[in-house]
Amino acid sequence: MNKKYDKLGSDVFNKVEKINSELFTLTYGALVTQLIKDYEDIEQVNIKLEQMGYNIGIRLIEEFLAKSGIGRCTDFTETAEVIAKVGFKMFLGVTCQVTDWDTEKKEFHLIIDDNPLSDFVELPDHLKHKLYYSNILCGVIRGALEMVQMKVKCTFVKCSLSDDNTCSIKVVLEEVLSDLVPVGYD
Amino acid sequence: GISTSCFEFFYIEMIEYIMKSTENDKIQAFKKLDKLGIKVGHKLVERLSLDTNLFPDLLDSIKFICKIFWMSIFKKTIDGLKTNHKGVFVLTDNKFQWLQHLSFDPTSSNKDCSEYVQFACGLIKGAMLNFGYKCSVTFEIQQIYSYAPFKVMTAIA
Repeated sequence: MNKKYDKLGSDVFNKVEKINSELFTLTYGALVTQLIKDYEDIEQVNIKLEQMGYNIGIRLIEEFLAKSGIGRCTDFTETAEVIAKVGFKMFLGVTCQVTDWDTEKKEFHLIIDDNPLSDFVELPDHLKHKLYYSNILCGVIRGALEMVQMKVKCTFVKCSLSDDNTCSIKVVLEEVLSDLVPVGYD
Repeated sequence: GISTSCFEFFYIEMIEYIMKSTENDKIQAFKKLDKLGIKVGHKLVERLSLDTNLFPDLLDSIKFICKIFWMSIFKKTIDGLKTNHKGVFVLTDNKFQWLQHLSFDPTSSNKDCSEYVQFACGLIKGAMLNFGYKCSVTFEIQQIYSYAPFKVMTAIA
């Protein structure tokens, strides 16, 4: 399964229009700095980044499905592979590893070895282990999966900017939403 | 590289945040966008200009913006450059990328989408500042939202 999605990921990435990742990295950094100024409370910054990601995720899923041609996944383990090998590759040009499955196959960790968001970034000590610099990614995953009827919770477990060496996000499947109820209708 | 749409999804969200955080006060929002742009433009040019003369003259700096700088951000060069030879330059992009894929809300009172361009003014300012030129940059959006002339007025920093 791994190999298949690795190839699909690179194929799709080769097809999409690309830009200088420095523009993105620097702009993202400037925005995070602005948020820290605007909110003061770092926890609020983490929340805001996650919300922004959510808004991006609910829009981005459409392009993802159209360009990758991926249909419905058979189970959550397949969803995880698709996120790690195709989703991340298509938009950010990098792949992640999927690890630490629980026995029920409802939660896993995504390890991002080469996170473009945190290139050239150094966190001052007082923000380490407080600011989840790339928390926007958690929101993107949550938003995108909600549009395909999966309610998940994503949290940063480790951040390479806080001396953890790796960047890892925990994804927990909370509920599979019914197809019959369109998102946004109560 | 990363995908263009990845940046654009993020960019739209960033603009929305800045507008909301200033309660749609355009003057305040534009100040924030300008500052963000200056920071990014300043750093970006540092990485792009490694092979360039350390202190290019004014015209060379503007040419750098039109060609290398614009290319690295928008994958195209500026389409037209005019100057009055007194420090005022008009840079025209006939197909400004950040106005291409937006779906505009026709019911919105804010139809000019200028907030999507202001950040680019900051980028130009930041880049010019790195070359030692302080400028003010204004713009007009014309007709079908895709044509954006930037007017760069320079003064030596």
